[in-house]
Amino acid sequence: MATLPRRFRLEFIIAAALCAPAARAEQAIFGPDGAPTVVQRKLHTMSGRWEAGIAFDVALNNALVDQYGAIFDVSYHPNESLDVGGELLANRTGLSQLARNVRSDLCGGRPDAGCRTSTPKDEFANDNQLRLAALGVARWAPIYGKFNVAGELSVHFQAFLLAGAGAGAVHRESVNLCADPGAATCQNFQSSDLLRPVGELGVGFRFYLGRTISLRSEVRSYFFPSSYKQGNDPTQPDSGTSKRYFAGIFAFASGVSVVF
Amino acid sequence: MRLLALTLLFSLAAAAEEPDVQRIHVLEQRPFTESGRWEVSFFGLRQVNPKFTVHTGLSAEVAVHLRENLAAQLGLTFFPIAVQSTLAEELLTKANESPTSAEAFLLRYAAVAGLELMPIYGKLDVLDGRILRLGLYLNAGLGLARTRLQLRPSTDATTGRSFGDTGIRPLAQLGVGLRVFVSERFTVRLELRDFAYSGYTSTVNGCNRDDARAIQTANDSNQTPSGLSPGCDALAFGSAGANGTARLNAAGAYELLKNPSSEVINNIAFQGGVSWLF
Repeated sequence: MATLPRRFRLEFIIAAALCAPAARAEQAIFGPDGAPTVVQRKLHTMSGRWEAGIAFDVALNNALVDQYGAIFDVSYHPNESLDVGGELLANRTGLSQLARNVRSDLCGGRPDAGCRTSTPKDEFANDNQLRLAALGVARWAPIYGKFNVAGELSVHFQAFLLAGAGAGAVHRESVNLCADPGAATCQNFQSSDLLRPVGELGVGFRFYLGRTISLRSEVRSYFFPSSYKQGNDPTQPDSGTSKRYFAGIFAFASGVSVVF
Repeated sequence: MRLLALTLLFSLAAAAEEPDVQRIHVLEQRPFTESGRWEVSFFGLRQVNPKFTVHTGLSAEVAVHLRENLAAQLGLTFFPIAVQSTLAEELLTKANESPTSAEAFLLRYAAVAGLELMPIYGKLDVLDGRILRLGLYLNAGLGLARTRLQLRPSTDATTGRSFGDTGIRPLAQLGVGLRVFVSERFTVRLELRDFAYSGYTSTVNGCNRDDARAIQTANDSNQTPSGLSPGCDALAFGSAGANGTARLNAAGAYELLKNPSSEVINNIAFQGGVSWLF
């Protein structure tokens, strides 16, 4: 057996001792078939990082109103599955074609001067237009996964639930109740602009394009108190009573976020 | 000394290497296969584009996995809740407007045979716990559907919510979904499914527009309707007479049939359920 010269022995012992921690860090785990088992981690970690995002959103369930806009959000990830922050929502809103069709048929074939009768009418519900909102939001992402789209192109994703609360500017423009007294064809419809408490719940997916950029798609519901009028004499705008209800607007949002 | 310096450099490099950025390609055998197995699924489903109609129902499906990612399937769907939406009733009661018959078509039962392709596999873990396998799939099928129209709103004090039969018609179905394998046998499924069918009809309870008008007129004057076309079931509209429900339901049918309309209805439903592979 060959022996190392004496001056190399000490160097070899020191080198071996230095290599030991590194070797321990890469400890191999062997499976039942003798092949090495791979210990897998999340490719994209979120703990301690900030996130800023912008998304396009469109209302899904409001047949009387067209509503679409943008959501800007900033949040902080204290751990892997939670982030908390705030978001601003700005929407372009207006009555839908269906609502305008209803308005155009309100006279029911009667002449313009006698368009409106004094028979009490109820106002349409769910004509709320959520134009602006500021909300505090928390997202909880209990599910992390990946799938292979084509060959070795793997897409990592998170599935999350979100909840938030804040305030919003809700514009209402009545579809069928006139703001002008009298029986003539209506030129101005009853409307209001109110600041309302707004809550939101949602569910969504985040698809990672890399460590920094990810795409988010969400379905969310905004809910807030609202009201419509019952028993309104169409010729007298001040008549009728207010009926309160809890309004909900479902929206789909999709956008991009940057994690830094 | 050179050996010591070299070894020290390798040692530091090895220790400093961040495990997060390692990329290794592993060929991993799937722990089980679907090929050649049967699958029975049960779903709850709800329409997600409810403008003039609301559908909520149950579905059962049997599939045989011909290959790892291809299955043939047969499904039955029943919508116990298939009614006009609140908006449709509001239009009627507040503005004396109603959707066209094509837009108001209601789906009662559907039977569909088709194929399912699951081209994408993946994995997920829940709260850094157990790793589950998942598959993203597409399916398509053809079948038959039993349909109906709502004739009177729920606010009608005499009839309540009432319906008229509009027969059986062909239906096409497209879906996209996610299957999570909780175990080798048990899976959880989430799916978005589009039921597409023709919304055209010219008869309600086998009666055309003129029959509906004749039934209404005859009952208004406490007479038995006569001269109806073959296949028209006047009794299906309800109780006869000036105080009965037949005249109101026939009037509702006439309103829906007087302006013919035609449209392909896309009834998009979200369904969630479980399935068992054996």
